[in-house]
Amino acid sequence: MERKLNNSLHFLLGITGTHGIVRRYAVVNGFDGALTMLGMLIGFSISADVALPVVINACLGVSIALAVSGVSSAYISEAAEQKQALDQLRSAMVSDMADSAHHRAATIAPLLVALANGGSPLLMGVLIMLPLWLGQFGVDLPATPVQMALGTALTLIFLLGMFLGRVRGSSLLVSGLLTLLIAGATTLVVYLLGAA
Amino acid sequence: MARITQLVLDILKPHDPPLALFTRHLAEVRSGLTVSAEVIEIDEHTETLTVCCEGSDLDLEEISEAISAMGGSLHSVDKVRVINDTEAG
Repeated sequence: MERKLNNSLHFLLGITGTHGIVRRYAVVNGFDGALTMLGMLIGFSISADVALPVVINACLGVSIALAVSGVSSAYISEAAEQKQALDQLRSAMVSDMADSAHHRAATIAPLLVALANGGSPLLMGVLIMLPLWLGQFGVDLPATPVQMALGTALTLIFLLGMFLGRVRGSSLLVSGLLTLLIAGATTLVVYLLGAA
Repeated sequence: MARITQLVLDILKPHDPPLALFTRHLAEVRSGLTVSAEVIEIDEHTETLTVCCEGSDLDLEEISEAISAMGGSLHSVDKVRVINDTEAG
């Protein structure tokens, strides 16, 4: 029972304080991913006659690049942070702590943080691209695939804002509207620069 | 057979897991185990505890392993109570 508890992910994440880090990385990079896709889709929507496969390939390429960048950068930085924290603890405990939950956590935590950091923009990208793929496969949509993808991006950005509101304990609606405001400002800038 | 029914241990542990969680996990080593812990000293990264384990048949090695698994270190066994309930004769 003891061994099971000490190996549980919840326990290991708690020991390293990784819960908050995973959530922060997931939201921050998820927001990055959604906003990047929004910017690209605005760019495509104000461009004349861009073929749907081009839009899909460009969005997919950006999502994959964000995911790879997210995984590698988070893993490198978090592994270094965890190693430093473990070394400090080893020094204070005058022990190598090889059989401890702290040692296991220092290995697992960077992997989880990296997955969250890389997986969140990829997930956002895939969700936003769903209408594009549906359009490509000939599914009837209520608007053009790019417009539907734009709507999905805005919805996801609003939901991310609501999630942040829940974490902060503030109004979900106000928090969602704030992130939507950022998305609106981004849209306006891309539109104005693109139109010019 | 002589059985250990009480152990008072001097333990050094990191701040995480916190005291309540550490004590609970220690108590979960074996059914019927009662564990109480008191913080004696707190440093920047560690805290020193006096932990009292009570049960019908304690296994020091098992308890020591559980302490190590949570990053702690058993410094000394300060008190032991043993009962021998073998009938004489």
